[in-house]
Amino acid sequence: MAPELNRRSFLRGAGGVAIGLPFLEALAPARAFAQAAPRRKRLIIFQIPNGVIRENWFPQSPDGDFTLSRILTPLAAHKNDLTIMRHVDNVSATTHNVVPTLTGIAAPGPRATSIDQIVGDALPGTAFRSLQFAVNCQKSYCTFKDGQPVPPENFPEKMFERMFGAKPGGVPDRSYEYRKSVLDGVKESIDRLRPQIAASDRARLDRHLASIRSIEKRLTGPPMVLDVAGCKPAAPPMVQVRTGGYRYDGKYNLVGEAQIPLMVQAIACGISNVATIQWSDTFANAPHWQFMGIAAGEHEIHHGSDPNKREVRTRELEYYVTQFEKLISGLKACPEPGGSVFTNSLVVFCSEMGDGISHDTRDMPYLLAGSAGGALKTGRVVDARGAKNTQLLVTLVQALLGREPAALPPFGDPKYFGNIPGLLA
Amino acid sequence: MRFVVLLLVACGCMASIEDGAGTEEPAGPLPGSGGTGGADAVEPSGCIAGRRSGPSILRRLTGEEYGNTVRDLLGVTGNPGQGFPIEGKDAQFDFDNAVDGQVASELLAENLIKTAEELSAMVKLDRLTSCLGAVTIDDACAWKFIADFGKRAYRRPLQAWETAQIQALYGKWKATFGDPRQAVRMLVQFFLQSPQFLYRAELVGVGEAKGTAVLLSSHEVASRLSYFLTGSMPDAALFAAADARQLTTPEELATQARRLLGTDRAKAMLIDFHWQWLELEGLNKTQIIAKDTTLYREFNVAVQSAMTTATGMLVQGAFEGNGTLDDLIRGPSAFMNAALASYHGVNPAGPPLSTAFARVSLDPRRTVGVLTDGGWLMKHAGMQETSPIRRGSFIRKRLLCQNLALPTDPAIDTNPRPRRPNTTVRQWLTEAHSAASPACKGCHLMIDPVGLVFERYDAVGRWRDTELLPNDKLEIVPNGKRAPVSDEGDLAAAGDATGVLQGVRELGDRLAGSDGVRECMVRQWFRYAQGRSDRDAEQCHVADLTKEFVRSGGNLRELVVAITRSDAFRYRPAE
Repeated sequence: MAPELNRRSFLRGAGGVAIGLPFLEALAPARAFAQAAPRRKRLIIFQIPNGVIRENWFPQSPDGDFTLSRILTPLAAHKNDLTIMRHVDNVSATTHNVVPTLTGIAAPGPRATSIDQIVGDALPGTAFRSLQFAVNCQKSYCTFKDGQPVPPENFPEKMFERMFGAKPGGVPDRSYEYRKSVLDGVKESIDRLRPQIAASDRARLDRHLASIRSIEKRLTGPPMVLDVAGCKPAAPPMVQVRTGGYRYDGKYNLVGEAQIPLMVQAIACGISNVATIQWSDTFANAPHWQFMGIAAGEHEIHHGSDPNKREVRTRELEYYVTQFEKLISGLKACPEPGGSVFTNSLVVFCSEMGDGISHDTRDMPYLLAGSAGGALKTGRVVDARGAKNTQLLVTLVQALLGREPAALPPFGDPKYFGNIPGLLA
Repeated sequence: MRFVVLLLVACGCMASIEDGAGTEEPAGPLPGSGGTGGADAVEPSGCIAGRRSGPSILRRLTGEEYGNTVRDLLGVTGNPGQGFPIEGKDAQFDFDNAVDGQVASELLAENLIKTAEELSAMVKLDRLTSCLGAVTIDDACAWKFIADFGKRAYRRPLQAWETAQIQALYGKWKATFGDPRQAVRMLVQFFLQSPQFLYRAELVGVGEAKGTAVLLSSHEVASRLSYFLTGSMPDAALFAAADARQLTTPEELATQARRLLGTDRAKAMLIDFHWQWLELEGLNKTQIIAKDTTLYREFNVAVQSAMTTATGMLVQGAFEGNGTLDDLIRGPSAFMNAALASYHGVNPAGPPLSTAFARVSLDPRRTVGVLTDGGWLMKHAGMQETSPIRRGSFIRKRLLCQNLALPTDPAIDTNPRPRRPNTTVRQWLTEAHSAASPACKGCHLMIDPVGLVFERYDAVGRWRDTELLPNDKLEIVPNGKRAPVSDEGDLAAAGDATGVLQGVRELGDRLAGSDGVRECMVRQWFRYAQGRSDRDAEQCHVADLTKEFVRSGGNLRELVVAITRSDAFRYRPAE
């Protein structure tokens, strides 16, 4: 039997005497930064696999005023906040390709940076520049930085610990000073090892170093003010999922429904201005929908000859949109000077395919909620007339950062690096 | 790696087929340099050592390797590393240890910190270095810990600067905590986050001559060997061999490789390789693969669990002893217990079966190695109907090493043609793809006809004579109309395996006799060993390994040993 001691008893030392350094108190457990300007903008992304059922997704009227479609009915209370995009085509025609969904470029490379990273890096002032949530996501991640995937966190309880620095319901973690001291040693090792490895491998160590520096910034930043209006911290996730092994353990809805409130908290409490949730991988075929009595796997349903598959998938999409609604109403429930947190937010629903059954990449289901502080004119259907999703993504970044495309950091396919003019207010 | 785009005339399939023959002219003999050896730089075959070895890309321990390593290093239980973010590219060829997919993300770095903190609190210090169990710990003991534990953590003796750095850290933390034990625990945290521990760095020497080859040091190659074969750090015997510089010749490596292949860790590696090669992700004993149980009432989690065991034993059986590629892809036996035999409706000769699994000889017309393995057939099928596409794609990708790209033309109609009432899967696919655009049709003409050879096996892995047809409402129901199935097919554009076929027996025999398949099997193992695709510069080694594989009669165990003794494994290019 291996010895088990918890970290706390280690920190207390053999004699049970608490080890404390004078400035530990200043490094409070929750590590977000002080409340920033009230009109701070936020970007929240909600990504689902395998596209939509087109006839049940898009409103019947092509433009302007519209009646909500069957799948979008749960959003009735937010109709005036929606912008439903039509005829946005994916920059890559390859099906099952998650790279372009948020990067606007077909393949990983220097310009494959997803808009959560672009916006998060440009809106500093929070502990995390962005937070990536997931439900059952194993490999085909949709978030990228400089062509490399940014993996999300599948476990609500681990995400809670990341955000608030303590185990749910536990006492605050006080080991930051020691953590920092160890990282100083690790940084020195990386610096000194670097010239001893092949030049072509050094970028890999540099990336590691950048990750450590980013963590360090959080460790040494000013303490977070968690009592900002509308922030309701420290409600532990209601679901404990198994860690390790084959990750999916039949709790798709429970995990998703624990992650959504955490996303709202992350935004409302000022822990990050940017949050993404990726529900699952593009090829994932786990039986996610058993809780609704649907046996077929997430991907399986799109193939095969089941004559009811469009109906079955429509029901699954209704569930996703119900969760998207909870995200919107959660943000609306957090007051902020001038309205709610939602007032300054842009919430994006997206997928890597257009129509799921045909697996195509045209007329992608980008759905926007919120005006990003008045930058977008909402409550309408906008026909992009075959614009590439790159152009949509550029426009969204423009709305959030208030800069012309030319002044934005480079990302996406340069051939389509422009905006969709009619979209902005 | 170079891909040769084959435009199959009249079908337009964009198939990138890896080409075995290198385009570079063989270079003149170049002596190895640096490292600890290099005497055997020129191989009789003309492969130039190192010159033709691939880049030594800095590999980081995978989550699985991290867990194994800390268990061996610290003597703890559990599986730290399992909650790390999952890496590995979705690439067509690579295995999930692909170095290209490894990203030192912030999330990973956070996981590494927290896990190191937890482990450093758990570990029994006197298990690391015995003097740490004494009442008082003096600096001599701490120095001994740094040298001994540091060598095991870094998998080589510490360099002078490393010793100095770590001793200084110890001094600093001893002062901070006023307690040598706490300082040692801090050092454990530090070691577990150090790049020398997390990465398998192969250090560059001073004044290496570009274009030459460097024989890896005994410690470096010991790490390559142990992570390949056991997914963990070198064990004591391998460490001792490295310390004695006894890992510089191919024979020394082969001896160690054979020894390691007898360990339990190597069994886990074998299963891991075959599960990925056979695309069995998700096939396990507890998480059931979705099937329509109104059609397949006999299929349940107990059957799936039995299939998982049987598949594991089949691949292990083909590897152990003198198992061959022939046994693996066309052997006439399978593993079953009484319940699985009853599920398959077979009554094999020999002593009666019990709950225990045993190798049984079956009708060779119906039993063709992994190609008729129940778990593989079931995994490569839909909920209700078979999937000739998935089965055919597997043959192309994993046995012929052909990568059929997904269509990229936005104008093509990817909407699958709906199945018509009272049609077979064969009719459905044939109609759908004969009417499809060239961009779709081209590849499907390569995939479907070979997948259709498997039509005598249903969606849950059983032999069948007839299949259920969809009714007028396009539903497949238990008592619906049935039609006889045909297992005719065709293997187009498959080198020396090309030709029309009937049934999986003919397919298995054809594949087992193909040099292209043998070479592909070499590539699959080579990629798994190296954590990346094979490069142009390595084709000479792949060709040599293939020749050796053929000479051995397709002996799979000897193939793995041969990879470890090859120059591609033992050398790196000079920096």
